[in-house]
Amino acid sequence: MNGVSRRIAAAFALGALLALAPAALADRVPEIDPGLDELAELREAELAITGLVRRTTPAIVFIGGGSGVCISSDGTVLTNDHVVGDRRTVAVRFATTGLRREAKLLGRFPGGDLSLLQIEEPGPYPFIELGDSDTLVPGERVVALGNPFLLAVDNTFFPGAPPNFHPSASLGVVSALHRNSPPRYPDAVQVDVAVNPGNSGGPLVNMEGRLVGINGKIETRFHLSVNSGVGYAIPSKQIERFLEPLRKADGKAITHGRIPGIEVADRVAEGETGLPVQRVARNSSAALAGLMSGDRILAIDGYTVPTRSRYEGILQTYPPGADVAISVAGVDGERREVITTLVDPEEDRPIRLGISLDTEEETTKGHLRITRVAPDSPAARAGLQVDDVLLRFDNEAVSSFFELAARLKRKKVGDVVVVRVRRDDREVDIPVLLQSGER
Amino acid sequence: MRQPTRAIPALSLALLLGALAPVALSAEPKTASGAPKTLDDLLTRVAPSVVAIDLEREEDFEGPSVANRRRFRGLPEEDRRDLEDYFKRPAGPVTGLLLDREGHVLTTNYNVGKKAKDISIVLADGKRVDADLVARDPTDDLALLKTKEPIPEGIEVTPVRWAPPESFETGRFVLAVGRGPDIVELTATLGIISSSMRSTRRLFQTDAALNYGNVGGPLIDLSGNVVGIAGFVGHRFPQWGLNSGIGFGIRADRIAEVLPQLKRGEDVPSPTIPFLGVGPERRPGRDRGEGARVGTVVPDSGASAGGIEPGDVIIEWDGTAVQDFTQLRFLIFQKNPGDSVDLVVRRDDKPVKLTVKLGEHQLPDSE
Repeated sequence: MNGVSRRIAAAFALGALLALAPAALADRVPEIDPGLDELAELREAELAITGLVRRTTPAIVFIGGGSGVCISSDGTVLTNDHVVGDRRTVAVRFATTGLRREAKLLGRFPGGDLSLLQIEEPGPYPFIELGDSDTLVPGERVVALGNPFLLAVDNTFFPGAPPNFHPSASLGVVSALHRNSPPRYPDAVQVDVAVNPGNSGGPLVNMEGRLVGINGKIETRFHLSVNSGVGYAIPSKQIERFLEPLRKADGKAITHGRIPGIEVADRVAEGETGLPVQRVARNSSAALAGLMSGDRILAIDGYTVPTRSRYEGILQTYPPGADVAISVAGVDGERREVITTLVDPEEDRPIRLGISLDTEEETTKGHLRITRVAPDSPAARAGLQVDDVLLRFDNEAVSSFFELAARLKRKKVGDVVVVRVRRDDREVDIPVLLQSGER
Repeated sequence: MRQPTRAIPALSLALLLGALAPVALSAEPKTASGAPKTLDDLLTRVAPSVVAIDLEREEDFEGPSVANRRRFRGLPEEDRRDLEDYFKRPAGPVTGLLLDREGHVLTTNYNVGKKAKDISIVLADGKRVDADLVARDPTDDLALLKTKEPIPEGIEVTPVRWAPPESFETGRFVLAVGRGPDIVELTATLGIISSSMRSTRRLFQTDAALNYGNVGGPLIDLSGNVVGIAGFVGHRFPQWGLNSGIGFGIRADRIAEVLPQLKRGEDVPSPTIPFLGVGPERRPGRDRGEGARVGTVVPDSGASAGGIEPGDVIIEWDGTAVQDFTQLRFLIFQKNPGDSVDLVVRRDDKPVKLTVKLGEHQLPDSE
């Protein structure tokens, strides 16, 4: 039992519960025939649901403690990064038949909780087509398919029960769109569909049986890893943008793009339109694209950005190299469109100082003495030397490795911090430009 | 205070939009004329069959397992106390399904506890009658009760209509109907069949919200047929079973199988399942989908009698290629105890043909 529960992979976050958004009907969603009574409407829906479950079930796969879905006949499989991690190959097992295949990791996108796998043995395999999450409206019915509590395979609830390879289906509605729920879910589709540990990586499908999202996160309380009525799915639109980069990632991790050199306000001011641009760094790609301080951002690729959180969330759904169209209103109120190419954010890589410390003196003397400075490292470039004793980092005392690591964690690549060291009985302040480990 | 039934159609729409809160519904019998048009109509029809059960559990089941509690040991004291409270099942009434005028009431074994006394049934019109426990089926989480006197004339008893097989299809709507915690009001929660088969094919799974109060009551389809009895809530893992969207119903076809036995006052023993007697090799990295690698062989089992040895890799079972242990377990359960099966193992890189006779194993009780 314990082994099984340990294998249930799922990311959970603590958060406030959100109210159900009012229902709205898009053109695409059939109007309810006023002549249909309640039960007739439900029977019609039931027909659609049973049909889509029948069609989509064979494309569901079970992967370790989570789920996944096959999206092409040659066996490309989508799942969550927190299900696969950095494993080079994983076993995937198809629903219904129980067919097992080895799949290799094509690429992972930890920042968006996505992982793309390729079954090596030639297909054809059953698959689900990607739908368009941009057409979703709050109140629209959606179905989640997957392997909650591993019921289809190892069956956490009933020890000793055999596997039957039947995934679980649960019904609900889209509760809200474009939720920025950090970490990893910058533009999530919020659903009230029952989603539980083990559902991770499985598809969220609309009434046409198209994949509109990948389920992967739920709001929880009391550390209870169980459905709360607030689930988050990665929208298919975001997935679509990352498919090519993931295919080409060669098993490595990729990241989202960003626009460096721009600072925006927290939110649109009351009675105004557009998110104010507060600062644009000289020679930055934002400046080169033609963005200016005082501009107000109306939309990015058509998505409105009423807050900075939404602005950042939307941008994180694009890979580096993507061109986005930014609609802005200038100081004079004139509207224009700016196109900029997103760059790879180095900030996502861990900072590396390039020093080794004396661990024995850390315990015996309670200080951090440098025993080695890596050549061409940020430390070497700043002029840190062997036998320097670190006293302060960015104006805070450091006396242990963990303290130093914790302070480093709060910093970003490109930050300059002042490091105070004791050198030959003198205290020296040395500015260090922080850089990432990978060059 | 009873609520006007007129308020219900709007509320049932709220249910469709995913609200999980139980909907209060008047217990007042209402004559439904013509075909049902709304969920309210369905509830009105089924209402006389849904009864409340009041009892004292003289001795109760142990509740969440110790291992399960251990998961929360690292929590702050206050959170942990909240959780312990959450795990305690309330003493309030539970739900049952009235089957006939003789007074047979089906409910879950868990609802009755290990030992129950002072059982009374509160009928739909509010009349309270005393009842006895007739028999149990612990593995299916069923118990049959019977009122001491037949249901009095003048009180409506609607015959239960059991659902046809197609109602079990994944994606079909089901409505869980209960009477707890308020005896005179119904609760209704809407969901779909999440999987038509679970466990050893005697359960279905639903995302309708199930809790301590509505367990033991019927799950009905959109025609008002009873698909099953809501069960398996609050057993080993209440934090996963209560209101989680992972609920289970005991299938109507299984109920039909065991009901005659229960009515005769006979407890239903755990069914036996086929048993081979091999355990998987646990060393990581060894499982590459090229067969079921045997780590251990149970002495005096079908496997040991048939000549399976630790280190063997089972590559074929009854003519089917075996990829791994999970598939082997699936294949074993397609057989019955006593069946003989031809299989091929890979031993020292050579295929070896063997024949094994499956033994039997008792399925553990629901508690």
